[in-house]
Amino acid sequence: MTRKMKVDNQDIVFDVCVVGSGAGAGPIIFEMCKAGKKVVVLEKGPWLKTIDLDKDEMKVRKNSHAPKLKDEFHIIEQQDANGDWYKESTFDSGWDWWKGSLIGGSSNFMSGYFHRLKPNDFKPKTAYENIENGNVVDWPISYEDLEPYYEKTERIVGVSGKVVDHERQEPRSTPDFPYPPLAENEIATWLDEGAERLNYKMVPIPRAILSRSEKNRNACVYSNFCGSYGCASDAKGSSRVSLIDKALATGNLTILADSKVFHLETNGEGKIIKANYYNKSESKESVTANIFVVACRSIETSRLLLMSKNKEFPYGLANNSSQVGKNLLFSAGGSGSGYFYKDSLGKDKFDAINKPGLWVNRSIHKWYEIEELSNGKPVKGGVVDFIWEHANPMMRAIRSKWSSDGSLLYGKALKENMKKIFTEEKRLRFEIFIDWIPNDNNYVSLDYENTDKWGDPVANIRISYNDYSDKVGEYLAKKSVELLKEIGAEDTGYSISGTPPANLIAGGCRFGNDPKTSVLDKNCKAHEVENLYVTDGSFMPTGGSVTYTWSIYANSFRVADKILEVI
Amino acid sequence: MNSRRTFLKQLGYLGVASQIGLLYACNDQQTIVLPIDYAPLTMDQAKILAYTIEILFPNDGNGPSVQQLNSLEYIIWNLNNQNRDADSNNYILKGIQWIEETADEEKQKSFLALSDRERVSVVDFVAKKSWGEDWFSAVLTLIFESLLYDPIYHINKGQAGWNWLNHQAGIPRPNENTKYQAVIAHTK
Repeated sequence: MTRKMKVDNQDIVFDVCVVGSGAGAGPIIFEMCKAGKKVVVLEKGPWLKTIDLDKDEMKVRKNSHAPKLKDEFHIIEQQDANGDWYKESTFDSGWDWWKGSLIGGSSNFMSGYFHRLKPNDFKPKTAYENIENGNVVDWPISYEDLEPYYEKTERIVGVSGKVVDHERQEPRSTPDFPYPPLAENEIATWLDEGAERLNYKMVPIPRAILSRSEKNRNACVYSNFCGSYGCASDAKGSSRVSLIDKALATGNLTILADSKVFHLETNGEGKIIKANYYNKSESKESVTANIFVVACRSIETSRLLLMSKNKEFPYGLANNSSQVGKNLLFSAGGSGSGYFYKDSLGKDKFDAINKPGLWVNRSIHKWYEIEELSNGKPVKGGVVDFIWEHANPMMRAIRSKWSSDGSLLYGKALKENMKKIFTEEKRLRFEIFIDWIPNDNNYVSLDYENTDKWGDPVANIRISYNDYSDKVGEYLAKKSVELLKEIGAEDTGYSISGTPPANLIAGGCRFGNDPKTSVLDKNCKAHEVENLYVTDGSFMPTGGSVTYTWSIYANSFRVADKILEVI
Repeated sequence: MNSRRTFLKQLGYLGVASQIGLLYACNDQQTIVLPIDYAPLTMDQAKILAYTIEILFPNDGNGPSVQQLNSLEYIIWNLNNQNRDADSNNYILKGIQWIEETADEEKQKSFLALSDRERVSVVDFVAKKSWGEDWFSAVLTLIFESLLYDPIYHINKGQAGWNWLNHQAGIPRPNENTKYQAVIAHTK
């Protein structure tokens, strides 16, 4: 049945229908409602409030705020050692690609380590050395086009930090962040001083976390449980807290939670007229609107467009050039760590850093471009973020059951090792973010042999890693380990991996000026569909060497302005 | 969660739980506690698992015991959790069978008929096999969960695990409206 929303006993056609409610959706919802437009949001997950989110490790480890893999899974397609492609269901492997299905999406559970892209990230083909087998292209917009929206995100979503002078600092329209830096652990000073001795430059990491309270949100309470957990103080700039709650206050927003969109219906003239969805009782319903915005994370966005095929779009909505789902992106890189032992440091120095809750918030941008590896054009490097090992105890406990020779500990030896790990050592980690090179073997397609609980084809995700990223990753890891050793860390190590992180996904509906090679135009409107916009990370043709969320927020604010020009 | 009531099954001839080290010396049998409802395990399977986790995470005076943590009941609850991967649960059941088979092969007795010292010997033997190491690792992860998850799940009694490891839990902690069972009922 078609769901005619009744407002004051009048059936309405919404101005805007937004599919999804995470970082790509929030700015659209906020700006449209603020401008007086009637907006309906269709979100697959439930509408949980702050009071519903806690620091329960059982729920986090069981990924309880995401779909059950038995009901909804992905097919992952990779190459074996012989180069042959093979497929495996995430239900069988347990490799869960869902990251939060609820109002606000995965932004509820992000860590909020925010980095802007840099100007050359908008023209990687021109600026950097050619990468073999990589579908690297320049973007249809420049850094200058997005900068005002990075700044807007700082103000409206809330970003804390401190601008310091360094060689890779992005141009800014404001001198500093609207919120001062969060409180820092003593280790930040150790890193600053160690980096100076090595002629590195530490840069404070901006965080999408309020360092001081504002009207309806409290400042960070330093609970020590941030990434992967919901925020109890509303300091974290989730789409739900920072944008959707404010949009609700306008009276223009209708939220339909537990509503899974499975098809966007067109009128035969290149225009969407309905979003068809399953409600909580799994009945089919639909809503009508003038403009449709899809933002349900890259994989599900591509899947929805591919599922929305009809006579007009026989290969899927906006897919007459066969570009939907192509050039999927992840974040390449790796991680490493070093340990600080109470025995080695002495009690006073150990106690100085053994203070839960305070942030490290330090990164290195020096190697965003690496002259040392260059044979002409600059070689694209990346960013290194330094963080404490997560406060959740299970990972440390699991680490404690393995001896240094790799054998299993149990009994008395296990308990002694566990006690020591928890009380006499601190692990400082680093995470490396470098470009995932898009290529013809990174894409989303539909798997008609495997269906979800509604009987719809699941997404098949083909993954191909470019070895180019290994060279850069090794370089950054070795430099980072040098710094850890410089400040007294022991037992350092690192690993560079081609395994894509399931929380850092973009691409699939890249934007561009040529409809033959892109799905969206430069304003993120589908080339082929009059009233379809895509505003999650799908638009990105390349990913840069940073986490995506700030750029997704900023671009969504930018697209909101473009929609308001035509609506 | 199954019933919280438990009763003492004295499988040795002495009724007071003590440290394994002492029991080794006396060649006594460790005292274990089974929950009233141990399905899907049989009683013998539950006993084998109970003895095994006592050896993997012993009551040696350093930290809480598996009885304080309610580890056995927690593992059984997982085996009954329809939202847990069935293969993972079958794996736990198979491992119990492997322990019994190894006892039969190495000692020509049921695992349950062995002395404490002999049971430790069987566990040491199994731990040297890759299949045994993998299985113990899986069981230890479940014990760790009973050590470190919130006491609202009837484990980690009195925050014994957190206190032992000086662990400061995140705030807010789960309550009856937000705990796993409540969320899963809505979202799954």
